[in-house]
Amino acid sequence: MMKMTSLQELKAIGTELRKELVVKHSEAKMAHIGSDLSCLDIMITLYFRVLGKDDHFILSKGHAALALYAVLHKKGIITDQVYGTLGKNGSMLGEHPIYGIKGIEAATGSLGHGLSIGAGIALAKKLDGSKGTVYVLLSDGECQEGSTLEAMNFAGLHKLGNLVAIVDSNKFQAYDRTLIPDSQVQKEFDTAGWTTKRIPGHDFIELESNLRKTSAAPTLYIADTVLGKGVSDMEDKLEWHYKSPTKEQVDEFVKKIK
Amino acid sequence: MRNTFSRELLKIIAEEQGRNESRTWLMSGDLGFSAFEAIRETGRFINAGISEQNMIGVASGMAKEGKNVFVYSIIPFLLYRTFEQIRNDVCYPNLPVRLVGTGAGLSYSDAGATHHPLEDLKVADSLPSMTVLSPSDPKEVEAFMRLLKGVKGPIYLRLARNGDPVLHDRHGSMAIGKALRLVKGSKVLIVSTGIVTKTALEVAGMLNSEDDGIAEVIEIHTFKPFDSEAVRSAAKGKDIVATIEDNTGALENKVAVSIAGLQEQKFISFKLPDQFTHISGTKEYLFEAYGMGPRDVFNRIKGLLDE
Ligand SMILES: [Mg+2]
Repeated sequence: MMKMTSLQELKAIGTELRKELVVKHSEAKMAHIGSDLSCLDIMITLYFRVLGKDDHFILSKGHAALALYAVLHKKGIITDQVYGTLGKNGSMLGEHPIYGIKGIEAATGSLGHGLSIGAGIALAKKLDGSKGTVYVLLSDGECQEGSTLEAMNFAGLHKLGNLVAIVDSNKFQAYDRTLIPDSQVQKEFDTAGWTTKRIPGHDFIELESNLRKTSAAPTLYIADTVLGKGVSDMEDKLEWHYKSPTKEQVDEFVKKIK
Repeated sequence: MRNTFSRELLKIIAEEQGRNESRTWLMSGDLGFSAFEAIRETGRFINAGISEQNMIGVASGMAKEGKNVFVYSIIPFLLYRTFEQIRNDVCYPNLPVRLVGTGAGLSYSDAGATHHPLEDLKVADSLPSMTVLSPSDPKEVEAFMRLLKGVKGPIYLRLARNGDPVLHDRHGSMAIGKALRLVKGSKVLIVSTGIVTKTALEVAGMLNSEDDGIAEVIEIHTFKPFDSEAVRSAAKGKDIVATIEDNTGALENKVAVSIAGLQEQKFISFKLPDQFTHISGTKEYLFEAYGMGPRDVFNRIKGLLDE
């Protein structure tokens, strides 16, 4: 019974934040709403069901910062006052994560940085025998960065069982369908000594039960997601990596979000 | 300088281990043969492999968790390959990661232009929150290893190689961010950084043996923050201000800005040309080839004095 309520709550948060993001992106005229919506359910699951006080989360695909801000605001980590400034002159909240905002671990506006930082945190914890798991959310395109693959090898070599990477596999990168398929990415991580698994990226129950699991090796989840998930006009359309909804579109889109 | 660094780091680690602490680590980009074996034995050494970008990111993560990480490689691999990681993951969050690079200037003289960081001072200087240390001799490295715990943010420490001579006895009065006056004089100010401070001292010696007390030497061991005030006040009343560096004008620019508006001096710089090195040889040979041997520097300053 409790579980059902929680699941309903997660779904309600998903709906609420999707509506909010449509409005925020429109008001702020900021890009990347498609990416926000593909990884939103992963972040909701992490922040509302998985992360404990010793855990860390790094949004390596920093272009989804508005989704992270929305989740951190919903959690009460970013205040109403700060959140209310989004898109206004003088705001701290950039379109990519800004270092110094409470709850932001790293400034990941450039792809290919987050997994190394996460590996460093995980290694320090392992060396000290301290508790906590480090979660890093990657984009599927980001796995083309050599530095991501360097971090993959390092974490595999050092058997960082306290490191979990999640690929938001929305099958798009900025200007194409994802060039290197996630099946190849999964093989590479497998070979590097990771435990890997494909999971559905918009199913809260599946997300929670998988993301809670760690192993002796670092873990990679390829989360199958949909760019623009939840706003039918945006789903699986590359243009929503760039566009922000017009004023006229906002009402229409919000109405359609279930 | 490398052996001094290794020895001093070993002391820091041994002291920590005596207190049952494990803060300080050395991470290397697959380098350190016959230099880091003793540190390896302490268990505080990580070979990050041939993957420098990841090495910097890992150091950032470790520093976030309270570790004191020294990251070591040859300067171009340490500082150029990884520029964005250093910028975004170390400097932006102002983390105490210690970047220790070997082969400053033409130290790897016969290794080819890929190994010659002739612009490292400019590159490191360009990064907000970075402290840039450019020692002239091994005892300065030793002093820095004691002093750097006082620096909260990132540090770039540029080392030459091994076998560099000790140049002076003022190491006890070193402070990060403060220029060091090595020789006091009345007419000619020579400002130097790094191992070419040796040349500066030799030239000052030659000038002073001809006309006692005319040449002054100020050493910039901390390139950032740059002690403009010390340079400017030393330049006041001098006839000539000269700079000497193993970069392509990093020091020249800083000194020129520092003395801007002072009218009376002639300004001359000794620097490496803005080009890739196409010749191989000892570093002394290369400096001579670029007109930076002690005799060349002396003659040109003397020529200005006699004008
Ligand atoms: Mg993608």
